[in-house]
This record gives sequence, structure tokens and C-alpha cells, in this order.
Amino acid sequence: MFERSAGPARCPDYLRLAAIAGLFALPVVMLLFYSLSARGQAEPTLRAWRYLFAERRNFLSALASSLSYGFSAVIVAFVSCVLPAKAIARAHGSHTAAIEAVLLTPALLPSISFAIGIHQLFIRAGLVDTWVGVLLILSFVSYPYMLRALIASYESIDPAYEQCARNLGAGALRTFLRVELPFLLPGAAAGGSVVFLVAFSDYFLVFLVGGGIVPAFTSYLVPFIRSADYSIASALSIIFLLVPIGLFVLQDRALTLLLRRRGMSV
Amino acid sequence: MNVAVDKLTKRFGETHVLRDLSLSVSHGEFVSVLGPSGVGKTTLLKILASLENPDSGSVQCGGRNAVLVFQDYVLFPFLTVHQNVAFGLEARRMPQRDIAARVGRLLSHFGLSDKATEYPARLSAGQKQRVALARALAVEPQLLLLDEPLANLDKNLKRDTALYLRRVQREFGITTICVTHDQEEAMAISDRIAVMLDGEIKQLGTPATVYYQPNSVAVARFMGPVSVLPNSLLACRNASLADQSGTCMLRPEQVVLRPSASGSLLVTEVRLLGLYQFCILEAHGVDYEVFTSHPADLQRGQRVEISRVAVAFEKEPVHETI
Repeated sequence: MFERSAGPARCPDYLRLAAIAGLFALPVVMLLFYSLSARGQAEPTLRAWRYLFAERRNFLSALASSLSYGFSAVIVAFVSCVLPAKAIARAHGSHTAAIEAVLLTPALLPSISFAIGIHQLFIRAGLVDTWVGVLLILSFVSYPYMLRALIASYESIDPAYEQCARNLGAGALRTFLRVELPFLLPGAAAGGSVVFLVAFSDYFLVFLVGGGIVPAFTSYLVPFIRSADYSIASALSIIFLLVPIGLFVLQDRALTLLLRRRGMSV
Repeated sequence: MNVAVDKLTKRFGETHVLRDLSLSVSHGEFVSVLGPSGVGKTTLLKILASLENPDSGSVQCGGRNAVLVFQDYVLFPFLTVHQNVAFGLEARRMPQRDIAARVGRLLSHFGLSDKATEYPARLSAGQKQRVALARALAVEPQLLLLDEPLANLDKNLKRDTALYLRRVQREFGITTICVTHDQEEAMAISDRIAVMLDGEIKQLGTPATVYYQPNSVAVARFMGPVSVLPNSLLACRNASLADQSGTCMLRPEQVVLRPSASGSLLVTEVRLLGLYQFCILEAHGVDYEVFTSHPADLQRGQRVEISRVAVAFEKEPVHETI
């Protein structure tokens, strides 16, 4: 028998959580404050929000475009990374580490230096100023995040599942869709979140390849920041922030439901 | 179907896992491949299931028609019990109505009807095993392969499950090869046992044969406690129990030790190990390890004689005293 000695009084968990949440919330509060203000006016005003409502067609179109290439980049990254991720996860030896390092290069180099070279190729291929070009360049610079997540997911899947499915007569596609894909979902969601964020929030690459012709939420936002109209820029930034947060909440709920229903830990 | 494995060889790098391994199994037979961990048993099963390719040798067992039940069952966690059992049938593009009928029959047979919509994470080990068996039998394989089928079960459940597996195997009339490292498990479940050591089948025979008439000391020791005594000490009349080097191998139940002042063996160590008594006996300057399931009140320094008693299943019952 022994008694626990009373240690120094510990800061309650909820206080620490509140402090961290406060740190993250502070910029958002500032944005909200700015969005309700106007230059040379002391009282709060809804000018910025009224402007955005009036201009909703333009900025929603830009938002829709950003969402479309953001989600598409996630799909392209997932599809292009599945097989390499599996091969790297299943292979053993030092050569796989070298291959993995090469494949992760786009995430290690500055996107500007990476994009300049690819831009020349895109000009020759006629992909500049097109939605497909924007999608390809964003997929290219962001796929390493998906690749790493999928390699980790594949490493955690017992190869016996695949062997068992094959032994029961399943082909490669059925084995992937019915057996492996559910295992990959949490990792794909994590990697996909980063890919989406990189694609959705990118300004430079979209401008370089899209040439201002492909609408983008960031392209819509930047002129307001440059013109120092911080109230509209802040209102737009809040919307910009709400989109991924909303998507992450939805994704988290969906995954939790999927795994809990199957009696698996979340 | 008959399974014929001929001179199978398999290497992993420098490690020789299977060496000219040959094995034949008759239709409807239940054969256990018994050997220590890492001896290549699972590799053999995977080759039979077409999940591994041998370096050389041949296997005649129907390829895709051999279904393996993995040691950890490997139930697909994202599929319900019904979907797991239906998996192989869907892969074979069987009509949905036929799949539902066959899966329903199997779930009923294995007492799993009320678990059809459950996911594997919510099942007990025994239920998982039954689902794995049902999933394997759903595709009506010609050969059923079981990898350590009782390894994940409590000791109390093992015997019941062994008998259950045997009953299922008989009911479905399916040729079965099981691999295990547990000698008791193999004896409880099998028509014949193939003792696998160093990547080779050292002996293939009925449980009684490999237990009471092992063809080598290595096989005898792997099958359980055995007293190995030279024929010069023990006039063993049963030729099948003595190998060419003149060694006699006796199981604990065949050995009775009696204190005797004129006995030729000297007790140097004695221990009670529960089911049997273990002694080290010395004769002519050599120590012999002796196991007996007829414990006697022996003391170190005492002289003893060994009586050999006949037991059931021995080929030639004899009774002799040295």
C-alpha cells in the first residue's frame, strides 16, 4: 500500500484548452471585428457583408471554382498515389526509401521553382489558362501529402487481408474496393485534407497556370487585400475559413460514423 | 480429391524453408502438419493455396479450389458476417438469390443466423472462427487449409473446438490439411499427422503411430515427453520402438520405475511435473532422462529398475522388466 503524494496544483484541462482555443480564435475575432468596420467610421457596419451579398454571384463562382479544383486535386492525388503507395509500403529494402524520397520531392522544393519548369511544359502542351492545367499543377505539388498518408495506411494493413480476398477468388479491383479501400479511408481523409487545403488556398500557381482566366477564390480575395479594403477582405477571409472547417467537421463525422458502426476504434 | 505434393522446395533468401517436401492426402482425409514455429508450415499452406510459388516441385490440389482459413481468421472488418461469408461467392459472380440462399444455409449451420448483420469486431473468438469456416466452405472448396485453427482459443475451448472442427469436416466431407505446432491439438483433430522438422516431412502416420512408433528421436521428442534408452539397458522386444542405432523410445505411460537394491540405474534427480514424473537416472556413467506417468516415491541415490507396461494403441503390447 502506498499513498499518492499531493503534487503541485495542476492547471485544469479545460483552462488549458480554453487558452489554446483562444490563441486560435483571436485572429478570427480580429477578422470579424475588421469585417464589421469601415475606414473613417467608429460604429460597426455591415457594409462589407452587404457588398458580398450584392456581389455573391461573382465570389460564389470563384468559390465554386476553387472548390472544384480543390476536390478534383484530392481525387487525382488519391488515384495517382494508391499504387505507388502500396508498392512502397509492401516493398522492403533501402531502394524504396530512395524512391519515396524522389516521389516526395514536390513537397520539399519551393513551389515557385517547381512550377516554373512545369509551366514551360504546360505552355507547350496547351494547358495554361485552363481549368485542367490548374488542376494538374495543384495535384502535382500536393500529391506527396496524399502519398505519405497512403503509404502509412498501407503499412498498417495486414497483407493477409489481400491474400485472403485473392484466395477466395476476388480480383484486384474487388479486393481494392471491398477490402483495402475502407482501411485507407482515414489516411486518405488526412492526406486529402492537406491536398485540399494546399489546392484551395493556393494563389501563385493558380494565377501562373490559370492566368486569371480560371476563377479562384484567392484571386478574388487578393485585390481587396492589396487595395487595403480590410473589411471586405476580412469578410471574405471568414468565408474562406468556414469552408474547410465545415468540410473537416463533415468528414470527421462521416468517418466516425463509418468506423463506430463497425465497432472499430475512431 | 487427392492432394499430391512432390519434392517441394522453397527458399527465402538464404533460408531454405522447404526441402524436397513430399506429402499425399486422400480424399476426405484430415491431415495435420505438425512442427515447431518457423519450420515452414504456413509457407506450405500458402503454396497449396496458390498464394506463394514454390522454387521447385509440384502440387496437385486444385489451385483456386483450395481455400485457406488464416490463423487470425482475417475477417474483413468493414463487412458484416453475411457479407464476409458471401465474399467468395460474389467474387465468383454467383446470382444474388443463390448467394443469399447458400449464405443463409451456412449461417444457420454454424449457429450464426442472429449475427448476420454484425461486424467482426463485435464477435467472440469462437464466433469469428465459425464465420471464417463458413466463408471458406461457402465456395465449396475441394481442399480446406487451416492455419493453427485453435491457436487463438482459450485452453478450455480448444478440445471442444477440435471436436467441432472434426465434425464439420466430416459433415462437409472435405479434404483438410491443418498446420499446427501443438502436438495435442494435432492428435485430437487428425486422421494422420505429418511431423515436419527442418523443412521436411519426417514421418507421416496415424496419431498413435507417430506417438508410439516414432521413426526418429527428433520426431519422438517433438511428439511429447519420451525416455530414450539404449537397448543394451532395456531389452526392448518391440522392434518398431527401436531405431537402427539401438535406441528404445518409451512414452511416460509405458514406463514404471520401481525401487530395487539390485536395480541397474541410479536416481540422480527426481521431479514431479504434474502429469508425469521426471527423473535423471545414471547407468555406467551416462545420464538418462526418464519420464513416467506412474509416479513413485523415489529419492536421489536410490537404485531403481524400469518396468515397461503396455498401453492401448501400441502395435505390439509387451511387458518386460530390466
